[in-house]
Amino acid sequence: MRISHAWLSELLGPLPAPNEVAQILTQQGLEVEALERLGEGLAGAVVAQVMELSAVTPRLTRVVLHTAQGEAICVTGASNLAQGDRVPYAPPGTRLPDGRTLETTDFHGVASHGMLLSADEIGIGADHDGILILPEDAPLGADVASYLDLPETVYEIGLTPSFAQHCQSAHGVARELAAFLLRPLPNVQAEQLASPAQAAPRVEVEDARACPLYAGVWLRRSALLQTPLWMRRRLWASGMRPVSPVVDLTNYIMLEIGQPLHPFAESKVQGAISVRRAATGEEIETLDGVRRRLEKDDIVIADASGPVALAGVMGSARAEVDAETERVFLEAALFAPSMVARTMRRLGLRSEAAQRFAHGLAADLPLRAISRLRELAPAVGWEVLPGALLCGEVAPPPAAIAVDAGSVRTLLGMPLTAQQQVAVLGRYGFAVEADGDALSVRPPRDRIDVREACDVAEEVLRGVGIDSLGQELPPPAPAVDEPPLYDLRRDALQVFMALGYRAAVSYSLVDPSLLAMLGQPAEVEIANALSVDLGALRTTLRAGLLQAVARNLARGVGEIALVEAGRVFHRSRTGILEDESLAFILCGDRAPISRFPRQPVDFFDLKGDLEAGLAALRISDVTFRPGTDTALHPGRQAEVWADERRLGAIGEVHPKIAEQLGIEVRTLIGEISLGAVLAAHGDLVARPLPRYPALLRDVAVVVDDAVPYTAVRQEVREVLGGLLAADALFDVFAGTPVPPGKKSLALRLTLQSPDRTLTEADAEEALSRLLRRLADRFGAHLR
Amino acid sequence: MNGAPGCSPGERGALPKRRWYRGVFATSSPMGAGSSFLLRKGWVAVKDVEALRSEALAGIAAALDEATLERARVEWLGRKGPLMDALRGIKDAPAAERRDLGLALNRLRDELEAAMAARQAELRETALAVRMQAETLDVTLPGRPRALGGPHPLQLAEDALVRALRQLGFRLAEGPEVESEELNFEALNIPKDHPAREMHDTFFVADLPGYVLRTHTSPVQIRSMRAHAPAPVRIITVGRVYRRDDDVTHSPVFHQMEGLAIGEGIGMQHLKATLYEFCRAIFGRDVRIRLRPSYFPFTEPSAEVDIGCVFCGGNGCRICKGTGFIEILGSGMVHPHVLREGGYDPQIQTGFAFGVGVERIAMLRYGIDDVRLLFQNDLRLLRQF
Ligand SMILES: [Zn+2]
Repeated sequence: MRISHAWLSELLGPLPAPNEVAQILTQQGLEVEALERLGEGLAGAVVAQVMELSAVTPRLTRVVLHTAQGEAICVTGASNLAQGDRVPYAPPGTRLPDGRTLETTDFHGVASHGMLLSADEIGIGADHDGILILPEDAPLGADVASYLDLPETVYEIGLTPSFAQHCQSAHGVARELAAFLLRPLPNVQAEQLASPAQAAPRVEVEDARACPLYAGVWLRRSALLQTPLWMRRRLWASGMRPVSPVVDLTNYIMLEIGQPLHPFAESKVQGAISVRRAATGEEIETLDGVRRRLEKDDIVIADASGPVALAGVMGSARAEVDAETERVFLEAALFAPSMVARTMRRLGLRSEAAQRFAHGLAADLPLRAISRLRELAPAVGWEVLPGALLCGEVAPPPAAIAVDAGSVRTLLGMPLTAQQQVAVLGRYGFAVEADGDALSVRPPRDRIDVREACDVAEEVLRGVGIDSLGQELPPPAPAVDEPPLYDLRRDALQVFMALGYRAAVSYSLVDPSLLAMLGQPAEVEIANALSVDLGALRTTLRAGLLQAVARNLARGVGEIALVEAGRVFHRSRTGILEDESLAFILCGDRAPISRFPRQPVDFFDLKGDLEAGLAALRISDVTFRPGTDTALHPGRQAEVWADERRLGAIGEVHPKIAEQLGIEVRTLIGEISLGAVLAAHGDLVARPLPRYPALLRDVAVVVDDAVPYTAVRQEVREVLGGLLAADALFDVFAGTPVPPGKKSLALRLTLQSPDRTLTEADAEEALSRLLRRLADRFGAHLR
Repeated sequence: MNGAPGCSPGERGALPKRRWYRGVFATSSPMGAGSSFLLRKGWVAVKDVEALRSEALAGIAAALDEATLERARVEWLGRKGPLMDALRGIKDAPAAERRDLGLALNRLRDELEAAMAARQAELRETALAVRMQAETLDVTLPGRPRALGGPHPLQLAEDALVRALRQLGFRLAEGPEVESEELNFEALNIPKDHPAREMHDTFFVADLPGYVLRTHTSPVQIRSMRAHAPAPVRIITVGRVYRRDDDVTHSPVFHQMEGLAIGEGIGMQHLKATLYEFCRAIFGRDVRIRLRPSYFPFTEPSAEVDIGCVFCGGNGCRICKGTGFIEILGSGMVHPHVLREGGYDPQIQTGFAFGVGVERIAMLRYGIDDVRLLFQNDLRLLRQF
């Protein structure tokens, strides 16, 4: 909310400089987000009087002015001037807040010496077309900036929900400042309403929960006045636009004490008024000219022919006060905060009134507003008629809050005696009775935010100043186990980063159609998604990485290696399963273009990275089996298994999917479940180093093309058993002299025994056993 | 200096050196007794040993590569060379001269061998210098490029936060991202229609009533409390949260980190010390820190923590909106309602909690001004980390 320094100063007396006030407010919890200075920079304008008006063209008027220096001539497009008006005159050389400096200008042969200023040009209002008419007693020749007390400082305050309950008013903010500056708190007495004296309109409240208190008074126009300049300026400084005297008056009282008021043009309301729930489908045209469909949780003020106001939110065009209105019924009520909040949110109608009702108001605030109305109405040319209307009762103040001063000491870590606490609370207007450490606390009526002992503790803290808190590190607490997946996720990312991958972070909300395309349809859809492309929780990290690749390719980045760790979401019969997943993607070249040979990535780059990665994560016995993932190239994909546990899959992105995503280069992608990795995770136990020398043997065998390498390897490991210390495939060869349809696999075998030195004969014997087996199984022969 | 044919140490050692001495002396004078002996042996071109010496040294010095030098070795020191010839002839010299002659010839041989070795070293040095000259690279050419991996700025920020708090004795805890409304709101003192729910524009799960995408990491507080009550807890949690917001400063998916400490006698002085240590760990020892009363439904009293603006040093700029401070985290003493929900008795145990946006820390630390950049995985950005 916005409030001017001048207004606070009127309520509290002279104040410290604006910067200091801003600091005090912020330290009290009213965060001053910005300081604005209205009318800053205006220099040279003086108060002048309009002597004579004559038309230059149908739209331009020549004005003869009387200034302290004599006569001056101005041309203006404004049409609101009358002879005798006091106006702000800016002679040539005047500097305006927007930085312009005025000169003499020619209009159709008439020289305008400077200009007359509107409120907008001065910076204290919105009205651009009309000249600002100053009060009759504005001294001729006075400097306009000093006469208007410019610049006018305005505090822009960010309200937390609790301050929104008691500080959406000048009085609210002033109370906080007063408590710090030890000034008396501003206050307005509630009017004791007599029973209704006026018969029409009759008002009936149908739902007392929706509207616990409905009060009203009747006003009659007594003079045709303009809203006084001081009131218009406060409205403007507070962010509201002056409209008409009676509307400005209601808005002013709302800004002053926080009670929204609503005027109905009495002549436009037909028959009895009822305060009720809206009927579903009922419609209202609100003051902003929009027709709105209502629901049964909206509260309306209705007359015989339907809603005349959306209670607490906005009035209707039908009962709007206009220039002809001479009598007004003015409502001062309380509406259920939650209902107003819901209507406000649903319709997106964040009116000043709704923002106040939605946070709740003090039970007696409507009556205080009426009493203030009686005082202020004459200033705008209106008169409050005797008598008033009241439906419901002012709720009694809540019971006193029991507070243990000792608990406050513990909570704040401050040695504050009960007496000190009582004194601090007194500054905020709290009535406290103390019996030793047992405090009985009655907050002021406006402090609906204070309900429990801990709320009172916060008041004490604000009172003594949050800066007086001490500092002490907390005592140690017993250590607990940490979730093992956290470190595994970190380690897995580190390993892939070491292998050249950049860590990616994608939205976990993705387009369900993308998931479907990847063959892993959404299982958790969002009921109120922001957009289709954020419509579901991801079932696979592939979605985000493929989009990242497409985006990077489109931006001209061609060497891509990304890794992401994060959760994927599945349904189970009982709820939702969240698994940690790790996905990695490669495309283009392994390294940027250079004078060295290019290294375009292929399946075995990705596979090699995964093998290295899993080894680094201490997963042994990883096997790869041909897979059937529909998102991957059918001939270039593998399932990843460890320990009879499926970890995930790797492969080349299916060309159709790549095409649909706009990816025009071969892309390799893999994803494994970190949950499965954790389950397969081995313990770290060192094996003894070999004590006997190893024998190296290179063997090349020729087998059918269709025989997978792992099948051969399986036999090698089985036959050689404990003698095989290591094996490596160092060549795969097809073509002459290998017969067509066959391939040669060259293996380097490291033979070693843990308990003796192997002899040449041992090796020969083992190899011939191996060759026999391979011949048996695959018809293999030595090359 | 071995390797020259006919000059192996074994052979040389077998020579009867002693007998040569005088003979060589004699040759130093053309009229001496040795002349007749040498002449007799057919040494026509050489006048005396001195001449032999200077001729051989000149030959060595003239060798410009190792091959030429090797030929000189064979010529002068080889089996068929004049020196060997002379040595072999010593036995025929007069007995009185043999010793001197032997000594002189051996000295000459040693000298020539040393000269050979020196010349060879010289030639190798030169050859190496020539090779290195030829091998000189343009070292300003770029190196062989390696694909370089690296972390995400969000991860860097998260790691910094977690590290700082683990050092203060906090332990990690986790919870689901799809959370019950009860744990996300009610247990945290945010009943239906509470104004704070407005600040948490919530995503709901289709076909799963009562479940939402958690709007903050705070439900993990309740989960941890329920797991450990009535024992003291000291936990942090970090993870994704979701809100229906999407603009330059708000992302529908973002990360929070939260800390919680519960125990007997925990007060706001403990919160303040923890926050100050934490802020110093993240923003440096000299950071200015300010606490300011604030509001959160799950804490009371609540405080917002600001640090001196890292962009203008506190003088006021666009980013701190002229205030010299920027908001970093929210905190407060755990609300009694929340303590009770967690299984604690607020009369006995109290606690504090604080939370921080990971994106905000990353954006401040690395000068990133649009939160959406953090989720686009644009390698042009990622490669800067
Ligand atoms: Zn700044």
